[in-house]
Amino acid sequence: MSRDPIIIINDLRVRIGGKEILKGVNLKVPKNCVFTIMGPSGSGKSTLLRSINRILDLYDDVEVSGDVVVDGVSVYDPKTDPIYVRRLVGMVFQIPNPLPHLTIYENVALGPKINRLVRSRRELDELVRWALEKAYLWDEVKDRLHVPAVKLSGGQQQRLCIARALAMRPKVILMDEPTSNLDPVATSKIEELIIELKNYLTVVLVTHNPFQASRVSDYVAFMYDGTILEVGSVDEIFTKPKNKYTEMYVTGRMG
Amino acid sequence: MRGLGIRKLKSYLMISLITTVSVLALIPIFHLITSVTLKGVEVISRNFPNIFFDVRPIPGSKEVGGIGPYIVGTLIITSLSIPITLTISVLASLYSSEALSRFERSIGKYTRLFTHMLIEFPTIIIGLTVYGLLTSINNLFNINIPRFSLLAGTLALIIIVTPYVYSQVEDALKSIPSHVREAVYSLGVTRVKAAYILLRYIKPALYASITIGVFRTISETAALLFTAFGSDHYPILDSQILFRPIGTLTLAIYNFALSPYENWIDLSWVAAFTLLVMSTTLFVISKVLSRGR
Ligand SMILES: Nc1ncnc2c1ncn2[C@@H]1O[C@H](COP(=O)(O)OP(=O)(O)OP(=O)(O)O)[C@@H](O)[C@H]1O
Ligand SMILES: [Mg+2]
Repeated sequence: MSRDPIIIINDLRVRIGGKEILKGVNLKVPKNCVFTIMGPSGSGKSTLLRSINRILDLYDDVEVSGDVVVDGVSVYDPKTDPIYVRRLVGMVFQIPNPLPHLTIYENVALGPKINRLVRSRRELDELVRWALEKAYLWDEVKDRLHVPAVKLSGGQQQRLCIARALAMRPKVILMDEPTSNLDPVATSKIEELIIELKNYLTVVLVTHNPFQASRVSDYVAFMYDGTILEVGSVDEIFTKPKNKYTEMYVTGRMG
Repeated sequence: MRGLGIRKLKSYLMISLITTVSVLALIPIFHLITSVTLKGVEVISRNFPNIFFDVRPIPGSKEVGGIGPYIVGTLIITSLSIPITLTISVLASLYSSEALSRFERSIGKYTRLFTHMLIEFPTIIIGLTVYGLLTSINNLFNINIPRFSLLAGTLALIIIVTPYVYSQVEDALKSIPSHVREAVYSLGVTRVKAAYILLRYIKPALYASITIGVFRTISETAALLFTAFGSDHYPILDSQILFRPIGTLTLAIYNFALSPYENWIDLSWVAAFTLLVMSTTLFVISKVLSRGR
C-alpha cells in the first residue's frame, strides 16, 4: 500500500449495549481506491462503517475507544464536530433510502441546500446535474426531476442515493451492501459506477458477495468476529490468502 | 378436499363474527352522531342564524336564545392554548426522539414516563391542581390572580393536552425507520435541520396529532369547571380578559343539560352539534393538508 492513507483506524473498539462488537480494529485505507470489507454476518462490518462517519452516535448506549482519522481529521476528538465528519464522509445504505416525501431533484439538492454549500439556484441546479451524471442517473431522470423519488426503480433509487451522497462533495463514500437488494442488471451498473468513483474519491465498500469484491476492489479486508483478520490487495486475498478463515470465506465454504 | 371445506367454513364464520362485532361497536357512535345532529339541527332551525350569536335566555323565559358567547369562548381559549401546547410538545418530542447523548436520552425517558402518567390523570384533578397552584402563588407573592379565569383555564388545557400531542408526535418520530434517520444525518446536517426534515417526513402523522390536540382541547370540560369556570356573557376583549371567567361550549353543554329549563337543554344540543361540526371540519382540513405536499 504505497499510496497515502485517507483513513487510519487505530485500535478501534466499539461496545453497543455493553457488548463488544469491534474488538480492536486497525486499518489503513489508501486514497482513491475501492477498499472492500468482507466477512460473515454479524462480524461487525456495518458497525465499522458507521463508526467512520459517526452515524453510530444515533444509536443508544454506544461506547467507542481508539481513534479514526479521516483526511487528517480525528473523528472522535471531542473538539471535532460530527457534522463536519459526515460532510467529509458520505454514506450509502443497504436499503435504497431516498426520502420518499421529496422529489428526485430535492433528494439530491437537500444536502447542499440545507448546508448552504451553494450560493445560487443556478449553482444548485448545476451541482444536482453533476451529481446525477456522476451517478449514471441523469439520462434516465432529466425529464422528471420533479416527480417523487419513490417512483424510481430500486436500482435507480440506489443510484439516486449515491448522487445524494456525491452532491455533498465528500472525500470518502461508505457503502454498506449497496447492491444486496438489487437485481443483476442494476447491480452491474452500480459496480461500474463504484469503479468510476475512485477517480475522485475513496470508496469503502461492504459486500457479502466475493465475486463483487473481486470485480470492483483494489484492496480487501477480511473481518471476523470484530477484528480484521487479513488485509491485502484483491489478488492476494483471492489467490493466496494467508488466513484459513479468509480462504474458507472467499472459496465459499463459509458465509 | 373435506378439510378445505371446513377451513373455508371456519374462515367464513370468523369473518362474519368480526364484521358483526365491528358493526356493534359502531352503533353507539352512529347513534350519538345522529341524535346530536337531528336534535341540534331541529333547534337551530327555530332561531337560525341568530342562535349562533344570541345569549342564553333568562331563566323562565320561553325564548330559544343562543350560544354566541360559548362559541367565542371556545375559540379564544383554544387559540390561546393550542400554539403553546404544540410548541412544547413538538420540541419535547424532538428532544427525546433525536437525543444524542446519554444525558439527553435519560431526560427523554423521564419526560416520557411523566407524560404517560399525566395522560392517566383525571382531568378534574389537573383543574384542581391549577386552582391550588394559583392559590399558592397568590399567597406566596401576596398578589391576586383570579383563579376562575381564562388564564387558569388555558393553563389547565395546556397541561392536559400537551402530553397527548407529545406522545403522538414522539411515537411518529420513533417509528421513522432507522435507515431514513441515518440517511438524513449522513448528509451532515445539524440536529435542528434534521428535525425539520424528519418533521416533514412524518407530516401526515404530525397533522393528525395536531388535530387530536385541538379535539382534546375543545372537548375538555371537567378541568374547566374550577378554572375557566364559565360565563354567559360575551367575553370583553380588553387587557383584563385573561383574568375573567370565560364560557366554553363544553361548559355550556354541562350546565344546560343539567338545568331544569327545556329551552336551556335544547341549547346544550346545539352546543354539542356545533362541537361536532367544528371537529369534523378540522378533521377534513387536516386530511386535505396532509395529502398536499
Ligand atoms: N444497534 C445495535 N444494538 C445492539 N446490537 C447491535 C446493534 N447494531 C449491531 N449490533 C450487533 O453488532 C454485531 C455486528 O453487527 P453488524 O451489523 O456490524 O454486522 P455485519 O457484519 O454488518 O453483519 P451483516 O453482514 O449481517 O450486515 C451483531 O452481533 C449485532 O447484533
Ligand atoms: Mg451489515
